[in-house]
Amino acid sequence: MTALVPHIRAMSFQRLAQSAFGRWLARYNEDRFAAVCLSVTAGFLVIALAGPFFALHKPGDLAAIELADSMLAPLSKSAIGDVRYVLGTDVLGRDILSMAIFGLRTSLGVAFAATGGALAIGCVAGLAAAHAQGAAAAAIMRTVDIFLSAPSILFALLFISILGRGAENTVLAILLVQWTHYARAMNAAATAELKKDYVAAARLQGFSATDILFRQVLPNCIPPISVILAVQFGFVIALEASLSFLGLGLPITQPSLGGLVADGQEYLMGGAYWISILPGSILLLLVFCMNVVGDRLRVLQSPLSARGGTC
Amino acid sequence: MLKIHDLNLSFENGQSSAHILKDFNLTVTAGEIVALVGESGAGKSTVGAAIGGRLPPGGKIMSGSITFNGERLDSFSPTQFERIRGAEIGSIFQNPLSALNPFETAGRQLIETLIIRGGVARRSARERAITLLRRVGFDDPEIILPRYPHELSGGMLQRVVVAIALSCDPSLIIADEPTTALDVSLRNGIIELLRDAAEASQIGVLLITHDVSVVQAAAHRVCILHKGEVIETGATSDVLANPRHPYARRLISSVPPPTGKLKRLQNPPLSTLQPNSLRLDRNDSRAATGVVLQDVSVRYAGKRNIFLKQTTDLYALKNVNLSAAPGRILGIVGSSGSGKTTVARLIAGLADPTAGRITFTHAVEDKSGGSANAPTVDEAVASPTDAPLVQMIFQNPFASLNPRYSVFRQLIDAPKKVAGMSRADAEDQAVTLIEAVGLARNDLDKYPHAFSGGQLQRISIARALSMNPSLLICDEPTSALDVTIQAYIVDMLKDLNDAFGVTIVFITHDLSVCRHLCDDVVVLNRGEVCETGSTLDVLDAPKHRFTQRLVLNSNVCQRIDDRKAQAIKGAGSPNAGGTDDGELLSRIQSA
Repeated sequence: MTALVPHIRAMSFQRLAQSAFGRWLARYNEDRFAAVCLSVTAGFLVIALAGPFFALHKPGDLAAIELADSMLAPLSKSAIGDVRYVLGTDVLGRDILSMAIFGLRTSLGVAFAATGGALAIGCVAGLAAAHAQGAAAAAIMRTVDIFLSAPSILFALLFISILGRGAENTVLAILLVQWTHYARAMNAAATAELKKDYVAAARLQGFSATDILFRQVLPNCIPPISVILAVQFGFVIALEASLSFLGLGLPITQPSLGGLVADGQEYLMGGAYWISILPGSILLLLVFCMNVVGDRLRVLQSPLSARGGTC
Repeated sequence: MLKIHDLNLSFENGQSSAHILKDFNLTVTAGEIVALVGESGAGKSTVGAAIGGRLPPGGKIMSGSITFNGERLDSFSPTQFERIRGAEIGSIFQNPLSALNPFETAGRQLIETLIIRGGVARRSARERAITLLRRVGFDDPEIILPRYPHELSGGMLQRVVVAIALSCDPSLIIADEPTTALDVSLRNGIIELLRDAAEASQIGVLLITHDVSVVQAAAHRVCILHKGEVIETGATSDVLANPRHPYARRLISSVPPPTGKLKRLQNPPLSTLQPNSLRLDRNDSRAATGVVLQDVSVRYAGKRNIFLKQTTDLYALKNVNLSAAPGRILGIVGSSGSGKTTVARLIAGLADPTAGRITFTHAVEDKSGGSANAPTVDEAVASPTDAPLVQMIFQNPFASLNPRYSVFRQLIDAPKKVAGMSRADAEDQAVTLIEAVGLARNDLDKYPHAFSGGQLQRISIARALSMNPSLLICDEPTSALDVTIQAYIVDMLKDLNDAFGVTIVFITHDLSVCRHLCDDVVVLNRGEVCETGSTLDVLDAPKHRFTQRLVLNSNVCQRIDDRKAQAIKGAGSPNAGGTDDGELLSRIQSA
């Protein structure tokens, strides 16, 4: 039957469906709700990447702002007479949708940078601790314990107050509280893997310790780490939003979702709900979907969910 | 009593379906032990699951019937199974620890079963439980009742499971690999219990096993299953003495004979290792490497507990002296916990001794005499990590290969990176090796999860050979495998030693494999060497008490029919934990 299928199709769809990723995706999609959440998350990523094409104006572009259009409710008529502000405008006449798109870009950008850094540092620290044992390992893992002993927002606030405000410092502060999660998970996974015979076999074959850690052990620790990653990513977005809401995150010139919520909160009582609530809802939806995706990954990861196991 | 007629059973998983049992026929009458033998994947356990109504999801009876005491089990609903399970059909499982609830005491689990399943009154249940425990060989059942499963040894737990199975006077017991997880010394006790149950209470027993020696000791009739089909059935003695089907012959010949020594287990040979089939680039100075352990100890220092009381040191090995002569096969035997694996890891350099010295020796060609049997030993200082001259085959084939890499990559990576081989040479070698261990060239592109345990173990051997080792350590390489695969691997190791003079240190608890394969043997007991010498000398005329016990236990299966073996029944007294075999020995000898 495969012979009848046009070559091109055989190359693309069938290959994809039969590849390991395709099979994994099919299993993932058995949970319809998680599949929807995955698409929503992917949609947000696309909007963030292609954001400037959708936005009416840039955040700091004063020339594009019509003061006459300030405080417009969603879907109401602008001064020119058309419905150009789908989500309304704020007190300065800035388009909420444009601000939200740029806010999404900033939030995701900060989250990616912080998570990427935390992942790299955490994995290396966790692997090193698993390999070293003894005092060095204790030093690393007790530091991790200290960080995990209090809510991460406290440590983030501490770092921001030391480092000062700004995009880079926000990334750094989040990174400094986040690496511990990866270090802990990596340490647990690597400690278990290091006891397995294939590691002993690799030692006997003469591979160096670095080779064994990064080429033999690390790839086998990816599944548990990827679950932590999916769960923590949503958390990082929320953490950045919290910092910005408190006015400690990004400066006002760089709108982030949390900052937008904070901007609009003084107008909430006046009935201008959209300035705060709409960016807030986007934030909520994004974090919610990411958590559902993370949860689904964790279910797929647990050995009990594996089908066709030995019996 | 139990009659299975033309049973066809298949598993469906999405689109694919697998035909597990084909026209399967089996009868078990009261008081009879029928053994169902076959290698893993033959469908043995599926038969047991179908009778007990425990088929895993996807399992479906296509045609045929299962009749038990006049009732058609194949059309039973789960609730109907609920009624007969435990009450009329008892089950014994491979792993007693997972068959019992870890949060309940053994006594409570037994008593609850008696009350709920057997309808025994609460007052008399305890009395009844004690009687049952006595029946399965506990001298002092009162001690067992309040114990949690983790406080009992494997052999004791399996006795408790047997007691629970017997508790409601079932007419059939399904014993699925009841002895596989147990030490040999305990195996005999459980077999004796089953025979006893069958004869005294007229219970039919369906004994599912892969172990031909268990069949020989226990079963009245045997049914050999191969790929879902019954290929041979009949009285045990007839079938084992005179197998007709080729697979049955192979299965039975795979079990090393209890005495004597064969050239190879399987004829014709299945492995294709020939001196010229491998182009191992052998450096003459590394032609063969032996190893000498002098006064080696491994001690785990006791820790101070919270009351600052020092716990005593634990010796994994104590003043061990042994040597593997270059080019010979040294067997290390002992029961579990005797320190066998520690010796292996020490030689491989994966662990360090607390005290003592490990030296590697090289055989030097004696130019005047040229005698291969007695090479003069030239002591050389070499650490196994300098150049990977020592390679190791591990017990668990599923953990000994990195699941993330294809077989190809695992075979070429180390030769390329560590031994400095060119890519083309490494690839050629990988192809040669994979064919030499009896796998196909296209298996190279697969990942470890696509292989069975036996295949993985062969890949492990190929990987070890890819480093051109002069000393190969095998840590129970066949204990997780079927006998036919075991025979294959044992033959292969023998060929390796014959063809290349690779020194092999072979660790096993199976004396018959040791007898067949090894030139010399070291017997370890609780971290100490208790006997050493040439294999046949030691095993045929053991001098040390422990060795005598080991030899007796491994042979006792063959003569369990002797009246002597009656004494085994009491071997599992609670204080001894079923492991004090000295008592067993004296009983057997006095009988």
